Amino acid sequence: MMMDALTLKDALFWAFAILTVGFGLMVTFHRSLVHATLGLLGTLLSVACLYGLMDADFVAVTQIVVYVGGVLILFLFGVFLTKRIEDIKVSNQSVNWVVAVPAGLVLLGVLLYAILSSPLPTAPVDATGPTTSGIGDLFLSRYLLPFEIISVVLLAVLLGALLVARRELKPEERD
Amino acid sequence: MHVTLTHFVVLAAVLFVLGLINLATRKNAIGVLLGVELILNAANVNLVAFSRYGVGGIEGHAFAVMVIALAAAETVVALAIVLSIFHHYRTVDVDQVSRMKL
Amino acid sequence: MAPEEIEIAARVTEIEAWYLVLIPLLPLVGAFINGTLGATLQRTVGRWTVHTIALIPVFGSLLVALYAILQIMGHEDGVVLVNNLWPWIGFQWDQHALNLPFAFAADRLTAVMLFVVTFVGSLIHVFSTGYMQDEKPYWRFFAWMNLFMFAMLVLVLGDSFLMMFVGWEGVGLCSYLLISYYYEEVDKAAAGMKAFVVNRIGDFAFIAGMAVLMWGMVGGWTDGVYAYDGAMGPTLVFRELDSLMADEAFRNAFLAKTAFGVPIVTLSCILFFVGACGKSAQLPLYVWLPDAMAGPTPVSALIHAATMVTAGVYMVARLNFLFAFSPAAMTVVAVVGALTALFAATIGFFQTDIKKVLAYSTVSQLGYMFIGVGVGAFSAGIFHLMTHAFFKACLFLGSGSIIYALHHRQEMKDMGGLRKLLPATYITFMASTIAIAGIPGTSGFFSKDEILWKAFDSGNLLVPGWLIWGMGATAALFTAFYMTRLGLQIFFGEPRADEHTRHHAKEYKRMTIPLYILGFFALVGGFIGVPAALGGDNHFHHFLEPVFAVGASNVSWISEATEHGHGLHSHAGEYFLMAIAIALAATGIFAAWKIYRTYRSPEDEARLYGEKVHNVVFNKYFVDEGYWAGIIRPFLASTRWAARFDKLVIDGVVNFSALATKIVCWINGGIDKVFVDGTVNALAQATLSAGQRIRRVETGRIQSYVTGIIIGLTGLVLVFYLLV
Repeated sequence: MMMDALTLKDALFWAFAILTVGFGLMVTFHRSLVHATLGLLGTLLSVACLYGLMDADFVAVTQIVVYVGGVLILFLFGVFLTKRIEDIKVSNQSVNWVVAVPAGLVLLGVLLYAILSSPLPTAPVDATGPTTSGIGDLFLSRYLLPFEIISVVLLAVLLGALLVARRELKPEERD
Repeated sequence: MHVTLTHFVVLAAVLFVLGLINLATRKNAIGVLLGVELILNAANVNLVAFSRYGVGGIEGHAFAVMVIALAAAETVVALAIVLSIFHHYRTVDVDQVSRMKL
Repeated sequence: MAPEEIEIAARVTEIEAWYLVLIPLLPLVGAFINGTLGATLQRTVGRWTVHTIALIPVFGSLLVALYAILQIMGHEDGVVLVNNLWPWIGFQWDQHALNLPFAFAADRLTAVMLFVVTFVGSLIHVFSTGYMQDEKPYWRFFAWMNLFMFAMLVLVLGDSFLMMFVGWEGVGLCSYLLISYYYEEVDKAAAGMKAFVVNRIGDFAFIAGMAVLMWGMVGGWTDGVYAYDGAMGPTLVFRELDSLMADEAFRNAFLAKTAFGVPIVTLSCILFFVGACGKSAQLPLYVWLPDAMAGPTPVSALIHAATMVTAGVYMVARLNFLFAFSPAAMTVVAVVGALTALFAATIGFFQTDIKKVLAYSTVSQLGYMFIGVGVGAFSAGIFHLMTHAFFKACLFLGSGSIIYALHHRQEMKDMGGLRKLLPATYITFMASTIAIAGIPGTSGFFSKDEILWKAFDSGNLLVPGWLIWGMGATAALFTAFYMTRLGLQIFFGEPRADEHTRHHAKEYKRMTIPLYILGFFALVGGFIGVPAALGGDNHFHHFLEPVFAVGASNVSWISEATEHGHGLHSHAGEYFLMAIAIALAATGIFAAWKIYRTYRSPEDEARLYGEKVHNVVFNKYFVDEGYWAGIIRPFLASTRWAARFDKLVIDGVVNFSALATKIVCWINGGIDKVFVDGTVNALAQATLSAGQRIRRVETGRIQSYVTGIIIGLTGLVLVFYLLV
C-alpha cells in the first residue's frame, strides 16, 4: 500500500466514516431518545453519502428516500406518541451496561482480527455508471421471485400494521 | 493510505457492534428498534462495499435495496406492535412488558 | 408478391392520429370523477353536477369521433388512423418475436362502430338524465355508463386482439354492474351474475382462440408444416395479420397447419365465434340477455341492444381475413345465426313483459347480423348492426318512456291506449316498429334485405344458401308479427292503466328529443346502403370495401359465377326475393292486426293458439329449466356426491385407522405404564429440579437475551478463528 497524499475521495471517506461512527455512538449512548433518533438520522445520511462515494447512486437515493423520508419519520412519531415528552430523559437507564459494553468491545476486537487477517481485494473495480437500469434488470429477471415476494410482504405488512395498531373501539364509540 | 475494502468492512463492523450494544442496553422498545436499524445499515454497507470492490457485481446493490425495503416493513410492523403495547400497558419499557413469559 | 396483393397493401395507408386516445379517455375521466366524487357532489351540490360531468366527456368523444370519421372519409382509399401510445408486450423466443403496442387504430369499419357507439351512447345518456332522475344512487349509474363507454370504445378502437380483449372484458364488467344496478333485489343481482357467468364461457373461448392462433403462427411442436420465413413474425395486431393473410406464402403455410386434424384457422375461428356467442347472445349462450332486462332501461338500450351485444358481430367482421378462409367456421356462424334468429323470434310471440319482447327481438336480430357476416356479406352484417342500433335503441328508450310514465310497470296488462297519453313515444316507437318489421323504405328493410339476398346467393357455405335464406325469411315474418303485436298491445285498445297513473303520465323533453332523433334515423338511415338492384349504388358497402378486401377475395357468390347471374341469382331474382320479403312482412303485420286489435291476455292467447303450444313457447321452450336440470343441478349434485364420498369412504378409512391405532395404543400403553414410566418419571424428576434451578436465568428481559447473544456470537467467532 502506498502512502501518498490523501485524494479527495479518501478525505471524504474519512469524513463520512467519522460522522457515521460519531452519530452511531450518539444513537447508542445518548440518554434522550429523541437525540438518539436524530443520531440515527445522521448515521443514515452519512451512510448514504458513503454509498454515493462507492458509486452506488440508486442505493444512496433509496436510503435517503426510504429511510430518512419514511422510516425515520415513523420513529419520531413513535417516540412522540408513546412517551410523554418530559419522560424522554429517563428512557435510557439500564443495568446491562456492565456486561453488554465489554462484551461488545470483545466482539468488535474479534471481528477486527477476523477482517484484518482476511485477504480482501484492495482496488475498486471501474465504476460502471448509473446502476438503476442494472438493478431494474436484475429485479425483473433473476431476482423476480424475491422481488414479488417482497411486494407481498409489503402488502401483508400494510394490512398487519393496520390490524395491530388499530385502537379497539369501545362499544359506544362504534359508528 | 488509499481507502480499501477493509476500511469499509471495519466501519461496518463498528456500526454492527454499536447496534448490538444498543440492543442490549436500551429499555425503551423504540430505542431497541434504533439498534436494529444500525445493524441493518452495517449489513448494507458491507453489501455495497463488496459489490464496489468486485465481489458479486451489481447484485450487491439489488440486495441492499431489498434490505432497505424489508427494513422499512419491519419498522412499520414493530412500531405498530409498540403502539399496540403502549395502548395496552401504557408503557413501552421492555423490562416491564414481560408478561409473555410464563 | 402477386399483383393483387400489392394492390391490397397499397390501398391501406396509415396516418398518425394522436387524438384517437381522447375518444376512450374522456369517458374514463368522467367515470373516474363521478366514481370518486359523485356521491358527494350529488349530496352537496345537486344532481345536475353528476350528469353534467357524465355528459360532457361523452359528447366530447362524440365530437372527436366525428372528426376522426371525417378524416377517414376524406381519403379516397382505405386509410387507417393509428395512435401508438407505448410498447405494451414484447418478448422473444427461439427465432420468433412478439411485439404488441398499446395502440388505437381506426379504419372504416371502426369509423362505423365509433359513430354508432358515441352517437347512440350520447343520446342514451341524455335520455337517462330524465329516466333516472328519481334514483337515489344517480352518480353510480352515470359513473358506470361512462365506464362502459370507455370499455366499448377501447373494444372498437383496439389495434390488436389483446386490446380488443381489454375492452371485451371491460364491457362485460360494466354490463354486470349495470344489470345488477338495483342490487338490493335478489333476482336482479342474480341476473347480473348470470350474465357474468355466461359471458365468462365465451371469454374463455376467446382466449383459447387467441392461443390457438398464436400457436398456429409460430409453428408448434408436433410437425414441421410451418414453412413461412417472411419478415414478419407472429402477430396479434389486426392490420399486420390482415396483410400477412394477403401474402400468399404465409397464407398457404398457415392454412395447411392443423391440430388434431382440424385446420388451425377453423379451430381458432370457431373458438372466436363461441366468444362472440357469449357476448352477442347466440344459441346456446343467449340465456343471459333476457334476464339482463333487470337493469335500468337505458342500460338495456345502450348495452343490450345497440352496442355491447353487437361486439361479437364486429369481431367476426373484423376477423374477416380469418373467417373467409374457413368455410366450415363460416357455416357454423351462419347456421347458428339463422337458428337463433328463428328460435328467438318465436319466443317473442307470447311474452307479456314489453322489455322481454324487445330482448328476444334483439337476440333474433343479432342472429340476422351473424347470418350476414357468416355468409361473407360482412358489410351487410355491419349495415344491419348500425340500423338495428338505431331502431332498437329507439324501441328500448320508448319502452323506457312508457315504463317511467307507468311508475315502473312493464307488463302489457297495465298498458293499452297509450297513444294519446304519450304521443312522442307512440310516433317514434311505431316508426321503429315498421323499421324492424322491414317495411320498404325504412332502414330495417334495406339492411335485412341485403342480408337475406346475400344468404340466398352465398356460394361457399357447406349448407345451401336458400336454407339460410328460408330460416331468415321466416324469422322476418315472425318479427313483423310479434313487433306489431307489441305496438298494438301497448298503444291501442282500451287504456288499462289506473286513473291516477293516467293522470300523471308525462313525457320529458330530455327523453323525447333522443327518441325523435333515433326514430328519424330508424326511418331514413337505410338510404346510405340502397342496393344496386334498386338503382342505388350501395355507398355503405363500397365504403367498407377496403376493410374487407382480404376476406372478400375468398368469398364466392353464385350470381358472380356467371356473367350476369341466371335464374334466381340475378337482378330479377333479387326483385323476386324482395317481393317475397315484403309480402311476408305485410302478412305478419296484417295477421297481428287481425288478432290484436283488441287486448289479448295470456289466457286469451292460450285459448287462441292451443294450450300446449302456448305453454311451451311462453316458457321459452324451458331452456332455462333445461340448463338448470341438465348442467347446474348435476354440477351441484356432483359436489354433493363428492361431499358424501368424502364422508362415507374417506372418513370411514380415517376413522377405521384411528380405531386401529387406538387399540394398538391401548396395548402399548399397558406396557408403557409398567416398564417405561418408571424410567421416565425418574428422569422427569431430575429435569424438574434442574429446571427449577436454571429458571432464574430466564428473566424475560430482552436486554439479557441480547447480551447472551453477543457473548455467544463472540465465542463462536473466536472458536472459528482461533481453533479452526
